[in-house]
Amino acid sequence: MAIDPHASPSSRTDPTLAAMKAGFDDDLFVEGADWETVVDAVEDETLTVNMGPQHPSTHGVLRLVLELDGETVTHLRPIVGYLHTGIEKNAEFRTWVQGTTFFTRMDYLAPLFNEAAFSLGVEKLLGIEVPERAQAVRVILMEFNRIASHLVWLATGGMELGSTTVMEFGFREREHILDLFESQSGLRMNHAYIRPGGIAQDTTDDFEARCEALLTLLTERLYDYEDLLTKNPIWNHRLRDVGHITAERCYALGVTGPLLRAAGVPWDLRKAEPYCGYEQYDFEVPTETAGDCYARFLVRLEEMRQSMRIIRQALDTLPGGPVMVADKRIAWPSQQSLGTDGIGNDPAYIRHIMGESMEALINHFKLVTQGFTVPAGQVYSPVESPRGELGYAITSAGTNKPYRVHVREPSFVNLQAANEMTRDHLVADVIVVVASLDPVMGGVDR
Amino acid sequence: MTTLPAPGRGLSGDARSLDDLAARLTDRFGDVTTDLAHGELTVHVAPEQLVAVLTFCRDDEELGCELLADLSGVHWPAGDHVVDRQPSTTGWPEYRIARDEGVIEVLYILRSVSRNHWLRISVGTPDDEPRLPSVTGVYETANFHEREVYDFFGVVFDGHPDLTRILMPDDWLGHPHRKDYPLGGVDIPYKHEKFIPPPDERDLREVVD
Amino acid sequence: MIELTSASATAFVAQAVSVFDVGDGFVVPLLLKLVFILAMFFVVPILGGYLEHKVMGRMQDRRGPVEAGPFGSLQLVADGIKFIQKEDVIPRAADPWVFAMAPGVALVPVLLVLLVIPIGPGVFALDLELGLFYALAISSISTLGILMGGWASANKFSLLGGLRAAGQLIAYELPLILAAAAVALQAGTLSLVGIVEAQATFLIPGTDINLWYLFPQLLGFGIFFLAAMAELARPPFDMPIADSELVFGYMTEYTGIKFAMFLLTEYAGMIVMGGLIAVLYLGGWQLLPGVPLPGCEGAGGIFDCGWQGQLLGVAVTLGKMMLIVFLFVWARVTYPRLREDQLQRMAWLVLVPLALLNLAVITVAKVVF
Repeated sequence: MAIDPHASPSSRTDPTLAAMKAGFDDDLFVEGADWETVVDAVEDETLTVNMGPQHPSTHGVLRLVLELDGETVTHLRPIVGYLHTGIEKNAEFRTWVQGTTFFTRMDYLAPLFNEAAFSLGVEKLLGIEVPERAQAVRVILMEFNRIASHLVWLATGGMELGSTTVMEFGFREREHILDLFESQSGLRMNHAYIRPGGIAQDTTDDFEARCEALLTLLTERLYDYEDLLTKNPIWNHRLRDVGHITAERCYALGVTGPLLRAAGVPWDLRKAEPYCGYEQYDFEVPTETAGDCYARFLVRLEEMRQSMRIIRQALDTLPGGPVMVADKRIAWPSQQSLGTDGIGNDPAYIRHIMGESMEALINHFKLVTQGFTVPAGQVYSPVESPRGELGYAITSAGTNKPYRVHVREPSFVNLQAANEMTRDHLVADVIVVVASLDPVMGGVDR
Repeated sequence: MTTLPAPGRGLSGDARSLDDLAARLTDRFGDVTTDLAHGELTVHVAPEQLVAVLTFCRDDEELGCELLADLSGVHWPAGDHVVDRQPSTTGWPEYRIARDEGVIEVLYILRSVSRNHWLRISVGTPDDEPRLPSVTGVYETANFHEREVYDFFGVVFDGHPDLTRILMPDDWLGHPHRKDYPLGGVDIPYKHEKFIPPPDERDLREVVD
Repeated sequence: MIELTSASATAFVAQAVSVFDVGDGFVVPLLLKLVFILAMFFVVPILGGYLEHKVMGRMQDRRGPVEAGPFGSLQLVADGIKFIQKEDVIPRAADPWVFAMAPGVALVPVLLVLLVIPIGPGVFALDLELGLFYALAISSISTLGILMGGWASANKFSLLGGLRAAGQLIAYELPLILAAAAVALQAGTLSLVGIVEAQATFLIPGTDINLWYLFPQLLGFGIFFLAAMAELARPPFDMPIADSELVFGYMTEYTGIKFAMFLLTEYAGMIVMGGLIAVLYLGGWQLLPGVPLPGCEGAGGIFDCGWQGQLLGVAVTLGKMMLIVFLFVWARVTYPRLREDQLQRMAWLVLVPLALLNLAVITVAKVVF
């Protein structure tokens, strides 16, 4: 290590700043020159193209350095980190409950999975069991989230193939799902709704009716996608035999999720290690054997159907009861109720802590300001996110804050396969392959 | 040659209990220690054994870990730390971190798709000069993960094909996930060479004498 | 142009008389023709663009432009004003002269093609003997502008886009010309007015049923339509632009008015191709096969019309153009973009052989009947 990590901040920043200033006038601008000089300087026949980080189809700020021979890709190097926000580090300075508000912002297309995986890990450390109703609601919302995420994948993937209609359709349906999330959690994205110990608040009265209506709508609209795309000749031509990867290479590169299933392995953590009561529900793990982009398209389309199947079963068997653990040392103390201003504190609860019980007030105060402590230990809690295995490796030192949380992000890992999947393909296929990987840069860069 | 499950064979192998796995590893490598907590198996190995253990986990018929699911680091600095507690409300025992020497613990999560189990390999390296063998030769997916651990903890992985920073900018100084990384107080250069001092320097952690 | 209309080039000018040739003067007809061409150039593309916005919106379950003008009809005008106000950026590494000239080189040929396209009985600027040849030859020059823009931008995406455009336009020029040649063969003339006239008098051999060339040359129509879409780089053939791959292809570095000129090239190109298809295959300004326009009953039913007949003829042609634009838009919302190799394969292995087959069949039929 070239530098002293203990050095004071100013001495840390000075060298870079000085270097920046020194080089500012000379290096940052390429002087205008005749294009010929550029051409003459080229020795080999390959062209290096920087695709991104500012590029329409790199899912945010992914940068792909392409080595092109004509239009054929000879090498692809993904460069990430442009969206790094230090969420893992930040979480070390927030309480366990506050952690969910951070992690939900990582993979912003699948926020509920992040919350769920983190909460499951914390619950494992605490050794608590979440009430059945909370588990069922988690399942329903996570599956809706899976559909929403796949819809965005379809929308952006279609957009990148030049099919704006698919984009409009995908986002249109997703909006309905986000409306449902908003009605339950108050937020369209980044809900912080699933928390250690249960969920933030019970569902609204019209929750089941809303879900039913949404399922009816989605069932119908999924057929539209099939009509528009599955037999669409150009869609077929563009996706088939593109970005092929075998199951063996998936294992070696750590690729999971729809990509692994499209390569023929029926691997799904909801089946393998059921969490949140997934073992109660009857569903299938769709697989394809081709391992190309078209297979991934079919797998994701079928996954949306299976998700709806799970939601139906969960709605049919939705149990009553509390949505937060009974343990007063963990459960969020504040009781919300609908006030004249739309939302507010429950007057009865306020009377209880302010007028009746000093201990309740102390408990409330302690839990809200300091949070609960979690016994020391290490856990790894994986869930099946829309992109693959989303794992939270949580280390607790026995405090009210995580000691270290590391997230195994499927987007981050799957991106490693991009080079292999695009070799000897054309530039146009790079877009298709990256779209089929479905990376979310918020998750990749964390 | 690795034995990987054929496509379609996921979940079809016989399950092995974590105790069996622990026994198999301790039989093969005498000096590894295993630890079972929260229903998770952790195997502590020495750095020099690391590649051998991972190769064994991948190739062994019983363990059959085809996937390196995760690779992460945890920094345990040297010293004595007690973190703020609230035993009056929780009743949990006080916890104290006390280590003679700082350690960066690197955790490998190995997963078997065919037998549906996973285990954690834990390996420590001193934090003043962290150095570990790279496992990219065993699991290619370790490439990005090891770059991340290098970026955040400064662990040098010998034999890594391209050990560069991945998430932080290339010219970043320091390794931000280490507990001794100074936080807050980053000078922000404004126009006209003016520096506005940062509001405060956040404590790294609560250190009690 | 002046030379061409004057006596020295009369040999190339067909007999058909334009409505703009009022009196014996030279200046007044010329001005009228200029006004006509410019109106075709600036107004009709905006109509086409508005149609595209609205049709796409409807097909995608949204409303399209609604704010600018009544029902959003002035959206493209507003866009144009916005583009004029934008800063005109020329990259430092670009070749400034070629960079600045490229949009013009792309745009002017489209304007020139409008010279020969008849959009009503007598409503055209010029009826060249070699009208079809002229139209196809001139419109190929646009490619040069695109290639210049791609090269001069000193941007790799632009370069790739420019090269793709060159490859694509060369590949699709051939089926386009072969399909058009079959029409010229059947009509026995290269004059666009003459082709419309020939369609009005074409009868199915042995019967007295009049047909447009769409029906005997359905294959040719399909080839011409696809090739026209590719020539215009319209989705699903928009690889030279390919906004998701090449940022915006050869247009990546262009801003402001130069960018607007490229856009106008695209929209005006749609109108030109729509006009050519209407003339070559859809019977020009005839309402239905064999049915003369009201007021045009005399002289074969296509020339001798009153002013109502002429206006109706213009409306019919514009309607047919818009129908073609509608088909372009329909294809755009339905299909994703093709890949470059698929595009080339389709041109050389499918369209060119089919176009040759079409030409051969038409030739044989022409000789036999």
